[in-house]
Amino acid sequence: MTEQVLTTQALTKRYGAHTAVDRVDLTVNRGEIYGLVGRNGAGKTTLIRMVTGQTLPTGGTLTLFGASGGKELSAARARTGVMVETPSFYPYLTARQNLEYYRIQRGIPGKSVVDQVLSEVDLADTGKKTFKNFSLGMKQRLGLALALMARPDFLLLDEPINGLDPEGIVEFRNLLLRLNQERQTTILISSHILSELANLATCYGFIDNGVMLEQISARALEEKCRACIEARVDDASRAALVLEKAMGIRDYEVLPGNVLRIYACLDAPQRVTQALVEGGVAIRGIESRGANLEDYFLSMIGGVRHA
Amino acid sequence: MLNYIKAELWKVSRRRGLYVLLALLAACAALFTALYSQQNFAYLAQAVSATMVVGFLAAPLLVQLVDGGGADTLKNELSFGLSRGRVYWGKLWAALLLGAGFCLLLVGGSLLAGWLFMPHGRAGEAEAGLELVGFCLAGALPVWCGLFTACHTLALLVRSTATWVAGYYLTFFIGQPLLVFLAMLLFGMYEATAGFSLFTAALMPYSLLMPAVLTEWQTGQYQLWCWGVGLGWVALGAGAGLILFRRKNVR
Repeated sequence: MTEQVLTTQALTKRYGAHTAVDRVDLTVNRGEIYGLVGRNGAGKTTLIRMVTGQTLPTGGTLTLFGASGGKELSAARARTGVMVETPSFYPYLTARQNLEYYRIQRGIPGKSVVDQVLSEVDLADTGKKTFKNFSLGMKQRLGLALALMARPDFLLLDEPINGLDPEGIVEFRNLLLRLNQERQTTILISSHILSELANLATCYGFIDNGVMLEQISARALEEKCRACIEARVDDASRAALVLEKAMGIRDYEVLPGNVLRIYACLDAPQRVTQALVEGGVAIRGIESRGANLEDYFLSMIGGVRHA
Repeated sequence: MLNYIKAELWKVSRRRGLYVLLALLAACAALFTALYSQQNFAYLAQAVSATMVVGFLAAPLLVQLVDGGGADTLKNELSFGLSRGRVYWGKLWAALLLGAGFCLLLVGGSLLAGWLFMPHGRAGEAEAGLELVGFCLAGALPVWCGLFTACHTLALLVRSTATWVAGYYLTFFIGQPLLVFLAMLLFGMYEATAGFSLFTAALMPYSLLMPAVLTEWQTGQYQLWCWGVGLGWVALGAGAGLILFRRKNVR
């Protein structure tokens, strides 16, 4: 049975009359890389803040590693690594000192863990440079170092690649993939850079106006977005017969409403049209389809908006 | 909790402000001691016993050394699963220990220097001076705790340091005296009564740190007032602080 790391049921957050997160049901299973997709103000950060305990829910429940309240939930949160928006640290301390402070605070044994985690995020050589003099990219790396320091089972990362240079983004992606594959770290990541999410996520949640629109696995999404010829015909059974007999096409699916999705012959749709017509099938409409994550998200929220 | 307090003190030890404040107060203490160098130790001890009010003035600065300087870092601690109660008490304990350390260094330093280099006066006079300092410290301790708790609650709940520090001084220097004045006008409370003194002490706890203004203050009742008022402020400050901090959305 799949172990659920995080589940929320009807999780809600209201600020006065404004509902930032509206009855969100979300499930993150062990070993997943869950991509949380939504435009600015959609409720991603508020949702993550509720999971981390920074913000208290107005309604609903959340269960983290099987714990849903009290000391058990606090203990469960100790198994997470978190980076929400711009990382915050003590400006007068260096990277090493900031991490050492949190190491002492959390009672993590062994000073070497600080150097180890700084090396992992490529901040081992920052010396006496204090946090206030860090670039945004360095701040992000230090935030990630803190999130990783206690070897978490679950990483919650909100817009983690903001401010990273292209090389940093690739390193960051590889690091997350390595953590996921080698340590089976479950990851929930929100990002505006959907192409980057597409390189990582094994599951997606689409959120808009505080409402969870859809949760879907990467495989199912890929299937949905797969390039195809979509034809609306008068008789789908006859059309299927024509495709198989006349063209030898077996990679297709029949959808309700006499709609066929044909995943072969994509470079020559006119051949499909011709074969169907010759087979006595009336075509009501035919088009080439296919989408990436961005297209899918935009179509879901109903048009081009800032993702 | 021990790890938390240890980490806070470790962090404070890395703040330059700590050493600046310590140097400033140590210079004041040295000057203060030097001014009494022509007198005997008992005079110095009496003078030191009248300086307890410095704790009231220094409380926001010491609390700020622990609570301040890292805007928005609370989100890290809560995300680790540390309870809000632990964060509240951990930082308060660290501030109190820091205050105790300052007190030990400054009061202890002055007295030690005086004891070593000043004449002790008549037999028993120096010991009586030390007893007086001990008596004042015993009374000041709970009042300081109350004031530190008030400062800590303000520091956790008010985002702007300048606002809460200014609010602290304004409340105690202007707000509370005004309340006392209003009570005098409205309820006919006058200075001569014990009730008025207690009312004043409760609203302006620092008045207990200037015991010379009270009559016959070297009594058990004075200690009772100090502990009652001080612990009352701790209870009220911590109660309000915990309730509000537990509801606060940390960003």
